[in-house]
Amino acid sequence: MAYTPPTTFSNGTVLTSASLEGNFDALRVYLHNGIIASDLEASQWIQTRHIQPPRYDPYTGIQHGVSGHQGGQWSGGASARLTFATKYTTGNGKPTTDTFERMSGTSFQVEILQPNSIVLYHYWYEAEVGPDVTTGGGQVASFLDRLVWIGPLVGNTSLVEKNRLQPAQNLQVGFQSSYPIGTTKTYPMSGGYASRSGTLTDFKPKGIYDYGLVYHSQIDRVAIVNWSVALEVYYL
Amino acid sequence: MSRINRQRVEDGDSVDATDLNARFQDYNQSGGLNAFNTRDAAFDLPQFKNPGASTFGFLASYQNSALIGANDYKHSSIVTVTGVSSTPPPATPFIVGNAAGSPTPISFGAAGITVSAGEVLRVYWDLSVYPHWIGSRPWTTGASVDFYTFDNGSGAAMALGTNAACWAFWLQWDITSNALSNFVEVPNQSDFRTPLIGGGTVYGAQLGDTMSTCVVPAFIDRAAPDDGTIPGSPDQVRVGWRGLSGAWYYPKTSGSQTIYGMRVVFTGPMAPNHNSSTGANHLIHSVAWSSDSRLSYAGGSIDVVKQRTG
Repeated sequence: MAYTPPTTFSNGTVLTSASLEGNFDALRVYLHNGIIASDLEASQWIQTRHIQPPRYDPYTGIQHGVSGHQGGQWSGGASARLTFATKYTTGNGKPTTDTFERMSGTSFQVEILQPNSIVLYHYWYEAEVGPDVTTGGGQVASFLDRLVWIGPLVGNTSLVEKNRLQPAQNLQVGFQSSYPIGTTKTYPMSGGYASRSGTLTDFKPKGIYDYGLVYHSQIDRVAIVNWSVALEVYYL
Repeated sequence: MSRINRQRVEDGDSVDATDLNARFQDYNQSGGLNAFNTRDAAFDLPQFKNPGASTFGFLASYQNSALIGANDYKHSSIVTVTGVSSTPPPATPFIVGNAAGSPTPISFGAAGITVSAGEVLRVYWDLSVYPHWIGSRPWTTGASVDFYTFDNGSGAAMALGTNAACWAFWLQWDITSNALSNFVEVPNQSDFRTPLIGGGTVYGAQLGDTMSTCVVPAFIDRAAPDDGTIPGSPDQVRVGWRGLSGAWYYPKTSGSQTIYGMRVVFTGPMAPNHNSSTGANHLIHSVAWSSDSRLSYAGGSIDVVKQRTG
């Protein structure tokens, strides 16, 4: 419906902030979501230039429109370009450490322009986990018990929600040093191939936010073969 | 119709009702908005949504999330269960809860959330799980449906796990009250306690009734095959801790539904099954070795968003 002020003022009555705010609030609703056909001049006059188009950012892979952000990034398939997680940047495999690192190449930054925006952040990855049969150094004694945790990064590594991290187990075989060099069993046969996914939802105030993947590893080598991250931000 | 063109309020002006009303009435321009008073990029699609129609309002109108399970990512605090017994019908599903055994549902408050026509509820969850077992390759015993029999190359039989056994996780909701004491399966989801075949001895669900279900392997059994034979003994491999994730969508095309809470439940071990007479595919309880199967879990989360579809 067309805009009608909730309050019509009269001389001699008390002017309250609530009645003024009520009129302003109704006006905001009208301007953002209340214009109807009968408010417009009957003859056709709207052109493409009058409608705000979304904007695509080729660096982040995110499309930004008046109602929010949508998009994401991925790597893998025929052009797989591995990225890695390793215990050597997250506490050297010691069981009591709680150090987190960004997964290289998976982060992007978006600016949320409206308050109280609803965010859905999706992530998915596939990894070869291990093998790591090294000993000593105070690390988890049994290589079978060594894990890597990978999960969503929102903000920075001090804000990691640990309960959202997804674990994967070290490959349960070793390397063979004679030809052919490599793991003694394939990753799928040995439980060392991991595919994980998840979705995080959130309310966000206006601001600039980092989204990506984060990890804590007790394993020497974790190769991320394929991954993708996707974002939905709703302003309205 | 012209652009709004009214002098601003200056210090010392007196408040007058006529002037104040006029400043708001300026925006009531029925039939007056045109190119003259509309700048480039002034309109976006939501501005053309009709109030009162199902497509009016916020694109995403509700969001909520909760941690579930035992909130400890290093797994020093976990919950472990034994596979459901062979007594028919199978036991009610396990409820994901904390280390003290208390369920960890997500609550939508005293009023709940209402999904109306033209809206969709999107639910996502994840959980750290660890399927394991006791003994050596118990899935190869007796009446288990979770192994094949191969020739070992010398005429003797060699059993090898199918690697198809799994634990099944799904969603329940409470649509009665915020007391959260009347959870039932969400639409198009079975509790895997339906007698399917075998005269009431085989229980499970048709795949068409598993719309909110996600699964995780119950074991890994590997062997080195050679020309259709298994000459050496297979190895059991730990499934290990891994992440489980699921998603469920609830589109509402007519009427409305108020929901007060949701939770994740699970059962297992399960096995795939095909009924050759009906052509239906099932997930059935694999009970022959269930007393040796275990499922441990730690923490996870559940996330809910409601948005309109138009």
